[in-house]
Amino acid sequence: MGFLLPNLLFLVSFASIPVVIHLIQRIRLKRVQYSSLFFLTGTKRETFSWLKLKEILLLIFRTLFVFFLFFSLARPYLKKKLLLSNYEAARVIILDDSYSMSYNGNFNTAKRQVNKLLNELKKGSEAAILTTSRYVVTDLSTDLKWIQAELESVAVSKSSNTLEKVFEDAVNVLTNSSLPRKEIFIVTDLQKRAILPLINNLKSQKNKKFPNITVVNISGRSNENVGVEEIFISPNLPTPDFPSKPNVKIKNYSTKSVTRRLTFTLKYSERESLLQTVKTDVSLGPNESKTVPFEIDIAKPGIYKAEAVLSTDSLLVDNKRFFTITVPEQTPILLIFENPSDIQYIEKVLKLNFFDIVTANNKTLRQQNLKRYKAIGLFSPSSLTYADWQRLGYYLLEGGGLFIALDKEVKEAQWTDLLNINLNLHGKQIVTKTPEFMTIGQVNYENAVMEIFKDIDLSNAKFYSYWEVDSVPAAEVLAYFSSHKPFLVEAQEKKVICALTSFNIDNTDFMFKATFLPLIHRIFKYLSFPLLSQTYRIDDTITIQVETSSPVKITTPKGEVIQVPSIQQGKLLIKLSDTKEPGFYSIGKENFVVNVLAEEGDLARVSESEIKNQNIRLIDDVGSKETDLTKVSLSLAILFFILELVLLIL
Amino acid sequence: METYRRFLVPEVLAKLKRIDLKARLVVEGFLAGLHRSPFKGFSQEFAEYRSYMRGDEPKRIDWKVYAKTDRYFIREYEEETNLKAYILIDASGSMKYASDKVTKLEYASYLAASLAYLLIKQRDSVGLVTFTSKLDSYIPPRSTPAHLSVLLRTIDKLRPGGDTNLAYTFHQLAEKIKRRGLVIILSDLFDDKENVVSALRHFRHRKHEVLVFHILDKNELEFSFAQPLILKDLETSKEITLDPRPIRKEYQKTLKEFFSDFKRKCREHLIDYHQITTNIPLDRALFEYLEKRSRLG
Repeated sequence: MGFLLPNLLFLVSFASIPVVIHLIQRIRLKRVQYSSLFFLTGTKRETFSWLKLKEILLLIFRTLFVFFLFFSLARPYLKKKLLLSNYEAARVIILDDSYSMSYNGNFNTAKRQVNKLLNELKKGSEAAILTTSRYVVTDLSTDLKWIQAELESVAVSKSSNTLEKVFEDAVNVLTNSSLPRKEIFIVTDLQKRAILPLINNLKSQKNKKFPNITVVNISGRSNENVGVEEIFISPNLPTPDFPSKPNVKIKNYSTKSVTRRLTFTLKYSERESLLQTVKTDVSLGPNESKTVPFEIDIAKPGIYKAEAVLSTDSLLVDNKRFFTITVPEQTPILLIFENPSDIQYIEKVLKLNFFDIVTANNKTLRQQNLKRYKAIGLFSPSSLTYADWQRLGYYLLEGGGLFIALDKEVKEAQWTDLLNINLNLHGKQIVTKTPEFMTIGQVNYENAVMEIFKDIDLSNAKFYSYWEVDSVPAAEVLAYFSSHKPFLVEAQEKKVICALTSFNIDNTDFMFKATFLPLIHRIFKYLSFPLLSQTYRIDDTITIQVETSSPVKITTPKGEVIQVPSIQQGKLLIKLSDTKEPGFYSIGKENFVVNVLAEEGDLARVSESEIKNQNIRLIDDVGSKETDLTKVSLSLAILFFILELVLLIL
Repeated sequence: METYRRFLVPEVLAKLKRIDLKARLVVEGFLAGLHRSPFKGFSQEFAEYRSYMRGDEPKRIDWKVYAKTDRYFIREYEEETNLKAYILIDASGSMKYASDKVTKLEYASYLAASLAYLLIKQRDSVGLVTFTSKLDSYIPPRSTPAHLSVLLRTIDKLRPGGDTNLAYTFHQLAEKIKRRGLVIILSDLFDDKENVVSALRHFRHRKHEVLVFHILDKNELEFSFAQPLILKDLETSKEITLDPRPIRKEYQKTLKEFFSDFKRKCREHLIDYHQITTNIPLDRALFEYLEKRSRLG
């Protein structure tokens, strides 16, 4: 026998109250010496027997009444199925099909439990099955055989959805039923990350009345699992001078130390030539997370596809992870200048590598199609007209990158427009009355642009400061001047980096320093890198903008499909929503990967008390073999109360 | 209430310490209340003449004196009798019961002392027997004033306790008393009815006159307990828990049947049976005795 609310079981001890009162009354009974019990015992023995019996019966009935009353509050249930306990009900079964359920064959157990839950329903009952990934497998139906047939086709997904949304759906489905008894059964492995959001939802809606909720626990005792958490490159912006190297982060979710073999495979270019395969054994302590670096250079332009695979364990889905990166070649860059000396060195530096440089002044700018450039360098912001700024605004909205360096001619009003309206930096600017030389001070090495300068001294360059910005709350500061004023800032909402100084030779000697080339190179590489994320999760929708309305070839792990772009808000878009399988995807020339959510591999279970505290009945993977004793207990309480009343009247 | 009569009330008597004083006060109070009682003078030895008065029995008129004097005179005799009276006091545990101030045994003691006083005063011989489940003391009958002191002292020292076996005791006593006399029994008679009646018949068989004073407490008749309680038997120490309210009527009915049956059986065997409760004045019992005494002549 079990209890849904075992915390209330202590109330059963109240059943001792009638016994205690009886004993106290006996103790407190007046003891009177009487001449002889001759006439009492001798003549009316039967009266005494009845009185004594009545007293004992009253005590028994009272005790049982209180016992069963409080016993029923603890919501007892029998772990065995009693005969005739089938009943008519509207039952929605939520089948957790997140990939953690594939652990140790749990999903098959779960399906068997669902079948049992369907079998125990009486004829005329309604049932529906919802899964966490597909939500509705079947709607409410009285055809239980059909539901069971539909269940056969349900397989565990690679998704990692939590239970609170599907629970809301289950409640909505039940509103369509006219049957008085409504129930929700959740067949799950009690995974903490899946069930906690539901518990928190129920906690926040304490006053709302929900149907009876039962959780069928199909988790086993062990939860040993190791999964690949992440593949990433470091530095995360590969350049020929600073090539990136791949890293694989793996995590042991169990409480035991384990050793796993990790195989890392890297393929290069569209022809997918195998670049390298590395196998290494990794030892992990309990709940330890470890990053394994691989000595493979990623710098050369092209498409890289990587796979990290762990040796087999009981949960296979998270043993494999995919990664892709496209290193672009011959990136077109537009440099806008007023005075040739503004870009004299910049142009030379950028020409050294992948960049295809085009220059334009404020007069020739309007002849340029900005869309063809991956990034634009603006070195004469003071000379731009209102129309030029508008064009740059559209360019930024479509994902272009912009680098701005100030020029001496920038007026205060232009400055305000530039920072606050065009760049949305909300900067507070002050005019430096007595210009002075400054060097580069504090650097934010966490930023993708600056991370390679960790061991490099940037402070040897001098800048002649005309302008200062006090603070830029809407931007991330990449580096400060020695005066603690911002030097390089990155707008958070747009792909814009702004140097709050001029790169004119009259203003700085930075271009004669060794750090000038990598910094400028890195800034433009960063700005010209694709804005679109290349890593998606299962069930994400991949949306990309295309140039033409002609059909686009989409490659998925399941095969190839052709999709015609749709027009939305004047843009031609390809939307791919069928991302249920992890692996490599490509839409046209763009490459992506879809991975499972690594956290789903953490099989840590929520405690039973946390579930029971929310008035949720918890049964251990035996589905239909239980009988609710609450009503039986309440009926017995009423029966004993009536018997007590009858006895009192007699 | 007149001063001499107030000592007939058991509660008043209980306040007095000396038993002889109690007996004297009762008897004197009783006799004064008799008001020229027809019960005076039963002995054979002539004492004096006195004028006939209304209420005197005509058979006692001396017709010879009437013939001489033409006036009615009554002959009075010195009290001289060969009546032997035995006062039997039940001192068993049940006699200890009192719902108010006077226990049944105290009442029986007052009554026994008063009877002894009265009997000795009338020059009858009085013996005293006290018993529980057996004979506890036996004082043979005598009529001397000194004997009265012995009797009163014995009565005064009586303490209740022990079980009852009336039939056995009565049979034993019936065998012991050879000469016929008056047997006065002061008991609550809490024993098997048939056996007790059988034992009383034994007295009758031995030609004794038997006068039974069935002494009860008022509460024993009414059973007026209001709340559930534990009753403890004074003789056996046995306890019983009960709610008296629902069984009161049944108890009273049983008791009534028991008494009427006992009374009927006594009547059948010419045994005088009087039921008295400890709250009624003692003169009623004394009166019953005198009535019996007058019948004995």
